[in-house]
Amino acid sequence: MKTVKSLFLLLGMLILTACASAPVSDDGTAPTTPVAKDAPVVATVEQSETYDKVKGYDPIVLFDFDKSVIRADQAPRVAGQASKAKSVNSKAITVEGHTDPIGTKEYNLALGERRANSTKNALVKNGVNKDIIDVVSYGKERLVDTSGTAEGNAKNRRTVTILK
Amino acid sequence: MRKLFLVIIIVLYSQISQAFDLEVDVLSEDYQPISLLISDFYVDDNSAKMYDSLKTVFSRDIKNSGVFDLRFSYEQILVGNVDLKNAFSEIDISPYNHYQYIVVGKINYSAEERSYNIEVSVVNSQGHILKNVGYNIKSSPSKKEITRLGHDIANEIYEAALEIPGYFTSSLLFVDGNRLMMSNYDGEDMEVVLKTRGTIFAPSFSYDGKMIVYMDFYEGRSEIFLYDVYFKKIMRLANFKGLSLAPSFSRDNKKIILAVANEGSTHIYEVSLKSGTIAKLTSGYSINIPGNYSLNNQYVVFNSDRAGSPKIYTLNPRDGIVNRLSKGIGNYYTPSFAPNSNLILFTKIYSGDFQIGLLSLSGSEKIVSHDTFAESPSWLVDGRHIVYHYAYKKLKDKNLYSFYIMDLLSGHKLLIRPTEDAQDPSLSYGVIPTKKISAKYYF
Repeated sequence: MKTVKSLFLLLGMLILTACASAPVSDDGTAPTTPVAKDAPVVATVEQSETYDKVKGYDPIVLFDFDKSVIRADQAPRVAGQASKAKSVNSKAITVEGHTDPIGTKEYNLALGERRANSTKNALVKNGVNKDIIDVVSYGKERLVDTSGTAEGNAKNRRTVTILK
Repeated sequence: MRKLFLVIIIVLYSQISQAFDLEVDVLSEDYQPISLLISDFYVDDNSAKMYDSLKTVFSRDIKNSGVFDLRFSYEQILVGNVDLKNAFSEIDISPYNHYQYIVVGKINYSAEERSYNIEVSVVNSQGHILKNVGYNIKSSPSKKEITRLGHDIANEIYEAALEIPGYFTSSLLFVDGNRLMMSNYDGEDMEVVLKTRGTIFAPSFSYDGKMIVYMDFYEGRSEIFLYDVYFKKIMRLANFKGLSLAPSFSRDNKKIILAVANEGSTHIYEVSLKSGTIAKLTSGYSINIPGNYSLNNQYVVFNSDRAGSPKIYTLNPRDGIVNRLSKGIGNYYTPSFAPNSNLILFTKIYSGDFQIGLLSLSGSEKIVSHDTFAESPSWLVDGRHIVYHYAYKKLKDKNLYSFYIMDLLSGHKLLIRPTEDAQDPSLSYGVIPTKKISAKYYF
């Protein structure tokens, strides 16, 4: 019985160890190496790049690994971008799609394009005229963080909405 | 009826096992190198320097392939200026029959014709001639011409011994920032093919080596261009709405397959170079990126996230039927059919580990390289070697790159470092038109 208990204890420890290691997607895919211990995977609003802090405009939308769906915590940012675009009567908007460095150049260009379209569609839902929105993709060509850490890669998975 | 079923099952099983054996063969861990002896060539008084230059090139090629256990004989197996075509009926080769293959040759200089005549024979351990090849070359060849000739001799030896195409006369195509570069297979004799305003992605030769297709990426947009190697002419392929990606030629060089990203989906298109007609081959909300065509253009291999994450599929361009090939976990990218279509080369990311692997047509896979910094693998014409780029050093925020040509059987790697930013390597499937060897003959 003691042996069985020890086995359960060992199993429990293994599970805990697995939980503490690098986050893994449902596909068994984790961000990249090296992964800082206990590093957050999702970059916060404060951590992201902002183009115009003075005017309070945040052009960034962040995404999960290999995903292009707008996360619930990012929806207010899209709403903020749409609101700004309407208030300044923006005549043209470019949404840039970016990815982290994981994966090939071609796949990441396609993923960046998909992310840019997700943000475009979300802007349209927030009342922006779709005809003034252009999308481009840079894939992994313009990383904002080249550290290769999970935190750094989370910052790279983004769209940037540029008002003109 | 039962007997018929049994026969069908046996036939199917033998076909499957043959395919699987081939995979195991390529990846066998108890692989033994092929023993090869290069005998000293007969060289007349005026040809010693030429012989040294040629031998340096072809023996280095043979050694760098990782295929042979190479030995040199410092005495001529064939003494004197004999007729190589008939020599082996007269000469006893038994002292050397512990070598699987023996290379002999001779070089004569003709003052009258002011040219060298070079003849090379490859024989097996029984003294059977496998190949007799000859070259005539002018009296003052350039270093480039001698090097090219040396590579061609290496090719002939490789092909005679292995009965698969050699890659030493292939041209290496690669990207260096906004420059498309070309060199010999080993990175030597480098030249700039063209420059663009943006970045070049994924260049590759047509299978006849006459054309190059590449993607030009600039300010978040991309276009596909063709480059005529002989006439040095650039042509825009087609103007797609969206981002054009991953172009490659069909096996008959008559079509281009590529992907176009638009409205959140990336689909595969086939463009006829003759008629200009465009066919869309995939549909639905997914990212589909093509690799290349199989033999006879029967299938296209591609990766797609249609099942949630990138996996490898084949597509029949005629009926659009799609089959999933990869069964493992992880994200699969850059699939490409081997020259004879028996295997598929791929890259894979699983638990942060970047892997290069081979997939059989039955879906079994074997990882051949675990390397976080390796990318963009492609086949060499022999179906036994691959080339990929490798980020060997990080300088501030910039990676420095080199290439490896890897023998899938022995695991031997040849390091090539043409420039510090060299990426996306691919090799032609043969000699390109501007590098053909003249005055070559078989006897």
